[in-house]
Amino acid sequence: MSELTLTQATDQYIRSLAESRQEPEWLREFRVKSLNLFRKLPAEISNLYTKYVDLAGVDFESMSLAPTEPSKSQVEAVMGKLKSDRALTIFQIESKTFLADIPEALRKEGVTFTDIGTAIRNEPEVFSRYFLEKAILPEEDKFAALNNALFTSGFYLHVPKGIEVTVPFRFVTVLDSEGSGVFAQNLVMAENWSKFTILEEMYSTRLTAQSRKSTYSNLSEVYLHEGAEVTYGSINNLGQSVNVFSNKKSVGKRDSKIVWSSGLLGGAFTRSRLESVMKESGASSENVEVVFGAGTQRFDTVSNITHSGPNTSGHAISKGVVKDKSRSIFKGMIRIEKSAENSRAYLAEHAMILGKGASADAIPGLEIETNDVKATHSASVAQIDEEEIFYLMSRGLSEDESKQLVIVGFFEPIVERIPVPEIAKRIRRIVDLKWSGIYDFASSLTVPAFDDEYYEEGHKTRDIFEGHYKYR
Amino acid sequence: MWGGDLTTLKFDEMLYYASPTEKKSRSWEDVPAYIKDTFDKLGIPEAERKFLGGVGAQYESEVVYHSLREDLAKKGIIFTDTDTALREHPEIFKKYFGTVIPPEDNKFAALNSAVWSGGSFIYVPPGVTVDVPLQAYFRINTQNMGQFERTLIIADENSRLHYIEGCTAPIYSTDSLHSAVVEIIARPGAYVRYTTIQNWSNDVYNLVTKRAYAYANATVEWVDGNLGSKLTMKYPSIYLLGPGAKGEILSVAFAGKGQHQDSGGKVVHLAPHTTSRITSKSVSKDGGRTTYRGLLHVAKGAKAVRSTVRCDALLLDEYSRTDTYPYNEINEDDATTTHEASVGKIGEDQLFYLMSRGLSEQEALSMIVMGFMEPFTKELPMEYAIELNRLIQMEMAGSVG
Repeated sequence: MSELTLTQATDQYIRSLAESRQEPEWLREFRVKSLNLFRKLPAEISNLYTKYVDLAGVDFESMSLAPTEPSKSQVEAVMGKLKSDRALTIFQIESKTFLADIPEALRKEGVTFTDIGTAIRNEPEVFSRYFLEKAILPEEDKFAALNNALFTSGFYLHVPKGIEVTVPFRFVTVLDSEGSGVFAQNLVMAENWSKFTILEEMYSTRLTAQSRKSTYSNLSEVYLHEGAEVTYGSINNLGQSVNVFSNKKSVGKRDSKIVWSSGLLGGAFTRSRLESVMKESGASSENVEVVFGAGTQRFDTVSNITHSGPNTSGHAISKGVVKDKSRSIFKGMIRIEKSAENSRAYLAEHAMILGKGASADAIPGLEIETNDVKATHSASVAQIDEEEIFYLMSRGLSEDESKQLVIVGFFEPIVERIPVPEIAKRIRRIVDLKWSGIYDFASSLTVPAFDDEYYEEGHKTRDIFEGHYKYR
Repeated sequence: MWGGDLTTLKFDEMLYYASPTEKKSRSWEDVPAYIKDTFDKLGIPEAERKFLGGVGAQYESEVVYHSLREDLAKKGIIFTDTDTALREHPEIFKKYFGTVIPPEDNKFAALNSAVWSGGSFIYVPPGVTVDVPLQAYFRINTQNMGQFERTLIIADENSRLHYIEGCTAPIYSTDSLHSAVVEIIARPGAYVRYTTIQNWSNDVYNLVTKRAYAYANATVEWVDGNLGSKLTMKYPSIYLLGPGAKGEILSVAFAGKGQHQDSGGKVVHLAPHTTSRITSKSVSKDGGRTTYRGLLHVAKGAKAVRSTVRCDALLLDEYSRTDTYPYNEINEDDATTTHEASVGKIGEDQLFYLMSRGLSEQEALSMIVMGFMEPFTKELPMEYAIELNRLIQMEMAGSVG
């Protein structure tokens, strides 16, 4: 299986893959069906966005599916650098998964945090039901179909009723081999009134923009039962030779709450689809997304808010800076269905363009089918304010430092909305480094001492969001 | 399916040309009484009609009434129906016709380019200001009549012009199509405003292509009201081609029972220091659907562009629907663009306040809707504003159970 590309992935291959993983028959057939859907589906299903499909740099012919075993030294190096307590952390180094240590207390309470393959083998009936009506069906997106066909890793997290876990569950991926393909599928089950945080981190330590293209695909589904609260933080700082395909969706029952926080910083081409579905009364969602592109990076993100139940509330805020020749396109849709009376929704997409060859597109949409709602969206594209630069330079900063400070200030109102300090700090750090053209893995994991003092609580910047909205 | 539902549109059952049943009229007295009647119902006083410059009435595809005040003709202004312009001013016509909207542009522009008849042709010479609005009055009254008028407006350097087009149609049982093409060329320094209030009957498909070229320091303004029709798909657009050009689109849509107003605007910034503003207001009631579809494009090389887009939608009941699809494509690093949109319902407190001042619920509702549309109404000439407010009141009648 060393040099396997997508074109060689036949139904036969999928079947043998399922067999080697000792998967039940229904999953095998599900994979085959998904692969065929991948072949059939267009890159973009919604005719609203077909004009913007641009898969340049994504070569299906040569897309590698080969799982890569990490070397011993590589594992040691990564583990050493992360210096992490192994508790509650699943590591994925290349395509090899290292399971987390679960503290006895949590184990007793029935918390499951393991890799998805093990979980399916342990509870095949539960998963067969779940796969029948999963939130992200292979039918709805070409790349979701691909992941459903090929996933070999990912985590399964189940937190029982009423359990609150304060330490975050971490899923750390390190991808360093050229021309590899990793397909992870994650499933999160939050039972009634449970409360916890997930940190998903993706790094490369030595891939550069010149390396041979690799693929990282991840598909995450979060099911929130009554009153559950889940925070899902994510940092993508993969090397600039990795094409990233991400599909995430949450389905929230009564009074549940999901908070997504994402930093999209690495990758060559990143295609991200995120949707929060609020199915029952009182459910809420928040999605904060930071995009910082440099070089020739491209970001294609979608952030959807779907209100099905009444009295629901949804927020989605994306901020992007595109430098050099990088490009971003933000798409988003607030959909308020007929049954979702008394709902509130807000969608914002703000971008700053910093290079002659950079561009940023935004398409914030609304589809509203009932009237007792409040839905607003806003989008803007702006350049760096010359006066701000002049002011900072008059205080003795260089032009470059001034610009960097303005960028940090541009992101800060939303970075400080991220409820996971680890994610917020790391995003600030990576933005800082990236501005200076440094993609150093080790330093992106450390947070400088001044950070904590500087961004203390009470240091909040003025929140511009929703402030400008005036109903007439 | 992109846009509205066109599945019931039958091209084979459509009439592509109908000659007028009346002779060409010369004076006001010759205009058929029932057209005058419609004018009356819309509340345009006789005195004001005479004051207004040329009144051209399109009646079954051919212009039956067309008068142009003598002083306008003296200034060298050409205001005639497009068929006549083709015969009498072939050199200007050939130079500009089809240059802004070629037949390749879209299916309906192609259809219009093949079968067009009627429409207005205006040419304003350099430096000339047309101080009264020019008006044309369109009307469909044959069953299954497709109207394919073609309007071409050329404002030469530093000229000024305001053109108004309004239309109503009686109700027929089968669907008919109105597919116009409007081309505007605003030469350097020119100012053109194009005002439309569209009130086709609720069985008409209104699929219109409107586009303007604005050269250096020229200004083009589309003021576009959509009240009638079964389905309207209309996105007036402005290409800002020269430095300092300015574009403004003001769009209002009102969708009642069985109606879908799919409208919006497009601005393409192709030159530096160009500015634009799009304002869209829509109201949906009784299951009506409004859609805003807009494009803001800043091309490479268009430095220091400023643009604002604002869309507001009002839903009057729980059965209605509204969509917003704004496309922002920014390829320059010093562009400043903003987009804002909101959707909501009429505030109970607003209604309560007005009712406590002695208004009935219905009066209060129409007043709030009129207030919501005010940024549009205030840009209209007085008689059109009155017409629009009457139409809104008529639409709102019976909206309170």
